[in-house]
Formats: sequence, C-alpha cells, structure tokens
Amino acid sequence: MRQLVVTAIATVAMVLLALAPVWAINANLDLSLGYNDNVDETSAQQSSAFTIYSFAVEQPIYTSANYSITGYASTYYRDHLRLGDQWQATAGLAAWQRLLNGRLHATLFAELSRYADHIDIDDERDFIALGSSWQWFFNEKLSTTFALSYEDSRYRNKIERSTTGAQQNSNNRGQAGSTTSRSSMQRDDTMWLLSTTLNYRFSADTETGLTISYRDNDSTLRVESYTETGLESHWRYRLAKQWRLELWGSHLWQEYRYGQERNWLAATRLNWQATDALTLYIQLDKQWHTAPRNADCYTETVSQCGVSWSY
Amino acid sequence: MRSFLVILIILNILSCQAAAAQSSSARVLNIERNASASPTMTLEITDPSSGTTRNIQIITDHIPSDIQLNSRIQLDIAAQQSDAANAHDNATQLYRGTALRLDMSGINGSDKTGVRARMKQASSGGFGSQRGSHRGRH
Repeated sequence: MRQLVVTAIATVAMVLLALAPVWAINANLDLSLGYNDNVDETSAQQSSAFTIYSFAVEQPIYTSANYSITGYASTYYRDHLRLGDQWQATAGLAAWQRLLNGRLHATLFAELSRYADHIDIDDERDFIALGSSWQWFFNEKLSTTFALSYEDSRYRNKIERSTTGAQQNSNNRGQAGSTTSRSSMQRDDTMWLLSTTLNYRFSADTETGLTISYRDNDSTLRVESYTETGLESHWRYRLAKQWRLELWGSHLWQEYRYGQERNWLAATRLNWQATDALTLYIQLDKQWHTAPRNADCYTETVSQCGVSWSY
Repeated sequence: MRSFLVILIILNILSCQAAAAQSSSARVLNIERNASASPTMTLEITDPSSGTTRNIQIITDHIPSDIQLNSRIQLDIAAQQSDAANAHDNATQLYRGTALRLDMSGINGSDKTGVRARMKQASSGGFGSQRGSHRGRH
C-alpha cells in the first residue's frame, strides 16, 4: 500500500514537472537556532534551546504575466533540545490573478497539512485550509488587502478529560459524596479568519501596515471554542544596502465561554542580506498573556538567529 | 522511481540557476506622476555578476498601480540597451519606453501563494502558531 502511494505521488509530481516550465521552481531553506523560555505557553514556564529547519518549494504549473497556478509544499521541523520536537508538513495549490491592469491582485489557495507534536500530543492534528485574498493598489504608496480563510482541523488523539461532580448515595440516607469520572473526547475544530490590512510605503526604504482581524474557532471541545479580535502593526526599514530592520506588535482580545483572555506581542528582526539569495537574521519576540485563571497566564520570550537561502 | 524523481529535481534546480543568471531585476526607488508629462521612475539596478548597483531613470507612458515603491520589477537587458539610443540624456541614464513587469519569481522575496508567510508564522518559535491551546487541561 505504502509503495503504491509513493509511486502515485512520484508519478503525479513528474507529470506536473513535465507540464510546468522547468526554470520556474522557487525554493527557500531556513535554518535557525534559538532559545524559548516558555515552550508550552503555560504558567509552568518550561524553557529550552531549539533548532528549526524549514523548507518550502513552489512550482508554477501554469504562469503568465496576469495569472498563474502554483503547486507548493513546505515543511518545518522544530527540535527543542530539552523537551521534544514538533513538525508540520503542508502541500497546496494556489491560483493568482492580476486584474484591472494591475489595480487588483486576487489569490485563492487550498492546502492540506499535518502537524505532529511530541511535547503535547493533544495538539497533533490534520487540517485543510481554504483561503482567498484581494489586494487593491491605490497608488505607488498605498494598498489594502482583504483576506478570508477557513480551516478544518481533526485532532488525531482523543482528549482525556476528568470531571468532578456531587453524587447522592443510592440508599438515600443523605450521605452525599463527590466522584471523579474520566472520559475521552474527539476534538474537531472549524475556524474562520477575516482580516483587512492597510499598507503604506513612505519611501522605497520605509513601510508600515495595520491589520484588523476577526477569528471564530468552533470546537467540539467546548473550552477551546473562542472568538478573537486582533490588531497588528508592522514597520520595515531598510537601514543600508544590506540591512533591514522589522518591528511588529499585536494585541488580541479572545472571548472564551468562561471568560476573556488578552495577548500582547512585541517583536523585532534584523536582516543582513549577504547575497541576493542568502540572508542572515536575528529575531526577538516577547509576548504577555492574561487569563481569568492564573494557570493560563504566561509570558514568553523567544530569541533566535538563523540563515535563509532562496533561489 | 524515487531515484529518478530526485535526479529530475536536481536537473530542475541547475536549469533554474542558469536561467537566473541571464535575467536582471530592479528595485523601484521613486515614481513621479506629472499631470502634464509622462510619468518617470527611478530604479536601482544590480549587476548580477559583480553585485554593484546603479540608478537609472525611465520615462514611460503608463505605470501600473501595482508597481509600488520598493517593488521588484523585471527588466529586459537587451531591450534596455537598444532603447538607450533614444535616451534624452544618456549621461544621466534616462531611458524611454522600456518594458516593465512585476518580478513575481519569488527569488526576491515575492510570496505570491502566501505559503512562506503562513509557514513562518507557524514555525517561529511558538507564538501565533495556532497549535491548539491549553484551556481546561490543568
């Protein structure tokens, strides 16, 4: 069976490569090394050094100046030296069209992913995502993007839950007690994400953007259902010919059934472009999370450096 | 079968690099749209062999809206050299009527499918990765 699947995938890949212009393949390899002071994002604060290996490849199947269809695949492997590893693999298809003589760009994508987590196996899932984005160019400085996506996740492991409840004794003598029962539940999530972004370029070297987003996650595990409103801003500066600085931050308002949570993020990244294809970078992220229960409150700091190679 | 696929991919990569050396891309530094005259663009061109950059100006009848500041655009070197004969002032490297098109190759950072941004968010050390949550597990 496995041999049959591999043969089928190899055949489809070779047919696509034969139909596609062979010179058009794009790929990106990214290797980074860093330290995370709260890997599991809980109040327990488990820290670890990590390495991330990620690879993405895109192959246009059909392309012209105004539209294209692209197949792509990507994967990352994140290894926390003290805690375990996580990886994700994605394969998808995207269609892009340039409309109204360049005034509007439209993109559609559909992709399949598998996420594996050897730190928290409850998070392991397979998911499909469908999405569309529409970017309107007002002039050489200002553009706005509307994006809508849908994600359907099936978690691979049933979630073990324990519930405690009062119980009346069967002989009705007024002796009440408490019992703890364990049950396992299948978790399936469906998520909608709507966002709009306004981008402004002050010059060729400085640009900023502001994004407002709304997310609705509906889960069969009721405590994981939430709605989220987000505000995000980013700034990018080209400091010198080979140096670029990025700053971004966000604030999220998350409404769960039992209460409201807040998340703040501040991050910065410095890039040094050694060649057209090779970029070295350092990055620092800090986030603060508050929740009604102390166990769900945390802070997280992630620092990393890496190298990215594109061709 | 799998070995054949690997060889095919390696051949693909080699032919890609050969093609990349023949093309040239430019970065848009400035765009001026005058109501009474044709619009002009200031471009930064990088020589792929030496890595040196130089600025040129292009005067053209129309600049599409999706060519923005800091956009990467593709230039046909042969067309540019022939057009140089018609330049208003060759000393300041002002060219006319050069064909322009957006560089959507991905080599220079274009992420047309958005997959790089999504994977970057998913892999970047944890934050914003939407990899489940933790409510009710303690």
